[in-house]
Amino acid sequence: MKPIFEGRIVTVGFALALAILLVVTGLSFRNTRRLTEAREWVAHTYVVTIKLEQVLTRLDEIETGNRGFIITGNDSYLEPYNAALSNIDQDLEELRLLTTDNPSQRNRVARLDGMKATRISTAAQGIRLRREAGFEPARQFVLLGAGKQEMDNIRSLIAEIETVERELLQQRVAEAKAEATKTIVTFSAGLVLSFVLLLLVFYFLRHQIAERRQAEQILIEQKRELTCSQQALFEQTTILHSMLASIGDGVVVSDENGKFLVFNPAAEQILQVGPTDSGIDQWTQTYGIYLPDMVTPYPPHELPLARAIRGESVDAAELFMRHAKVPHGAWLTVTARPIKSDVGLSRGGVAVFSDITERKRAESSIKELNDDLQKQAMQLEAANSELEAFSYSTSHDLRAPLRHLAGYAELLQKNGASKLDENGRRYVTTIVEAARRMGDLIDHLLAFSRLGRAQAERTTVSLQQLVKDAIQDLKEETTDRKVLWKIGSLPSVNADSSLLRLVFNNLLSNALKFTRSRESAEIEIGAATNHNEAVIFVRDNGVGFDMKYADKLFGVFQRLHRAEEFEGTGIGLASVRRIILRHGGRTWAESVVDSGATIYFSLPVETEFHPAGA
Amino acid sequence: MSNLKRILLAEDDPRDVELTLVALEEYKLANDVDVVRDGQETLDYLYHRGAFQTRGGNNPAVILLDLKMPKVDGLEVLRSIRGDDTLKMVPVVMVTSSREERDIVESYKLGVNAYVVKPVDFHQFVEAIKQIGAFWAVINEPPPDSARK
Repeated sequence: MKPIFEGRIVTVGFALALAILLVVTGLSFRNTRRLTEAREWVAHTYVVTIKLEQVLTRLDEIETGNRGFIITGNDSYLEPYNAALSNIDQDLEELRLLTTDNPSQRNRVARLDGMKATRISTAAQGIRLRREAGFEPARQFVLLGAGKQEMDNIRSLIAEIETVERELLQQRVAEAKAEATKTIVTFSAGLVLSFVLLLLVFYFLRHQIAERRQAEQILIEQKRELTCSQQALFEQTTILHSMLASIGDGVVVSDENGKFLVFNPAAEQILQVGPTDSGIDQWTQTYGIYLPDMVTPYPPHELPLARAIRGESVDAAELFMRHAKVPHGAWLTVTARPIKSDVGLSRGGVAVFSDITERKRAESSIKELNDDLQKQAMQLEAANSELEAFSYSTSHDLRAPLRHLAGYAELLQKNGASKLDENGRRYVTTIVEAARRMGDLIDHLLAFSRLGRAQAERTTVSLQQLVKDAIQDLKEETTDRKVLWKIGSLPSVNADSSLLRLVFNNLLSNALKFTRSRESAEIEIGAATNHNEAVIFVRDNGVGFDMKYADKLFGVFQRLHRAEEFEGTGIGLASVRRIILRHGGRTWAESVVDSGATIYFSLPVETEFHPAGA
Repeated sequence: MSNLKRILLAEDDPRDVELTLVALEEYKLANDVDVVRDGQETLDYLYHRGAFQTRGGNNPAVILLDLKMPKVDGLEVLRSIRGDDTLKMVPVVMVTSSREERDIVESYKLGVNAYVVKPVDFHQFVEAIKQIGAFWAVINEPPPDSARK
């Protein structure tokens, strides 16, 4: 918009300045002509005056000749008279022509002509009288004064014509002067105006030139940038080429007609056939491509690259390739994408592929392994349910005879004691106790086996609260004892609450049990967390154990103390380990004989782990 | 003894029967006990069939039912009782050696009134049986059509 506007200003400015100059030139031309005319009029007036003088002179000559002849009667005096007579009409005719411009002057000249005729006729009458009647009648005729009167009239008329002519001259000169003044004013104004206009145009032109120069600067800058980006493009192209040449995946790019634009070395190596211009229809045959059934030729227009050219995206399509150069065949996985123009028209497609024959082989061996594993898992499951059936029947069938054993022994103790001696009574007591212990063992064993089968219901569990509850449960065992509980900051974990409670019940009652001989029991429960697990420990100042047997500690029915020292079935820590394993954690222990033991267990910290107090 | 109600003990093991009766005798309840030895007999007793065709009286005040019995097991007996309009109000207590969760859950699902695991320890066993007998046969008010002596 702006440059157009400015361009118009320049054009209009120049046109105006030119027009003004033209007008001024026209005016000065006209003025000059007027001045020339005025000068001509001056000359004209002089010519008229001279002619009038001439006419007057002729008439004077006529008068003088006439007078001389009348006085002398000598014809020689008539020579000037005759000469004047022959010339005066010529002079008057010239005068008439000179005054055609002004009607009033023309009338006066006409009148002068008439007067001249009268005067000549009067003069001729005098001459005739002199010639015919002699001097005296002629003298009388002159004395009448007719000629003199006529002459005076003529003189007066000529003076009038002269005066009028001079007045006309003065008027014309004045007009010319006024015109000249007006012209000078207009001329000056025109000059000033055109000067201003030219200045304006100059200003705009300069402005435009500056802008153009700026635009040129920008153009130069852009050109330089273009050169730079061309350089970068060239570098990128080089990088792309070396990248395509160096990667292990085959990369081919085809235009929309199936003509290959890119066919990198890996593509040629994998396919064993280079790029051909055979067209999409021939691809299946050229490269020996089959469907995953390995026998049906791939429909050429369903090939990933062909589909990409149609605008579809294909991810990880598997296809089988076999031809003369690859007689045993190879498996390929192909990913293809369309290449589209800015307006979304298909410009071709790109396919990236790799040879997955090895992977396929590995997969099939993994599958075999997997099948084996599955078979084993099924066997394990069968064994497990057998075991379950076993423990179920144990629960019922073993306990019944045991109860009878205990029951009848008790009855014997009660009703037949009098018939038994001291030894007999001790035997019965032993039978009763052994039966009870076996019952305990069976109960614990069943509970332990149930641990493995029960469904773990995971929730967010506050270990702090759990420990508090467990200590509450053990209140009865600590009534007569001095026990110092040290509870550190414990995290919340994602776990089965009742199973974890069992863990703490076992660990804390163990701690109480093995500190029984101490005057003051100190039991510390604490936790340490690292990035992926929470480690919880229960430390006591009890009798401890020999680290030599540390790995036996968590086994079923494994006991490191004699039954007379510390009661128990050897199930507690085994249960702890089983529960912690089910939660994905570990268990271990540290101890120095007679200096207490520390039992550790870890729980994996998943998303739901929160530090205590959070 | 006039106001005492009859207890039906369904138990296949004679030793358990004897020990149970010993326990109940401590409250002098042993004479109010009718004993059946398997599930089939239990149902016969309840429906006055076979050997019990001539049985007088109505439903027992409580049935002490063993879980594992020959022919028809305790759970099936329980299912039959709860499926029968004339029997379904009779209180049933499972008295068994099994602490299996599935047995416990199944029993409660079928509408058992109590589930007692026989303790191995004789004293505890006697105590448990005594309390069951006292509660169901003495303290508890049975449904209206139960047998009265």
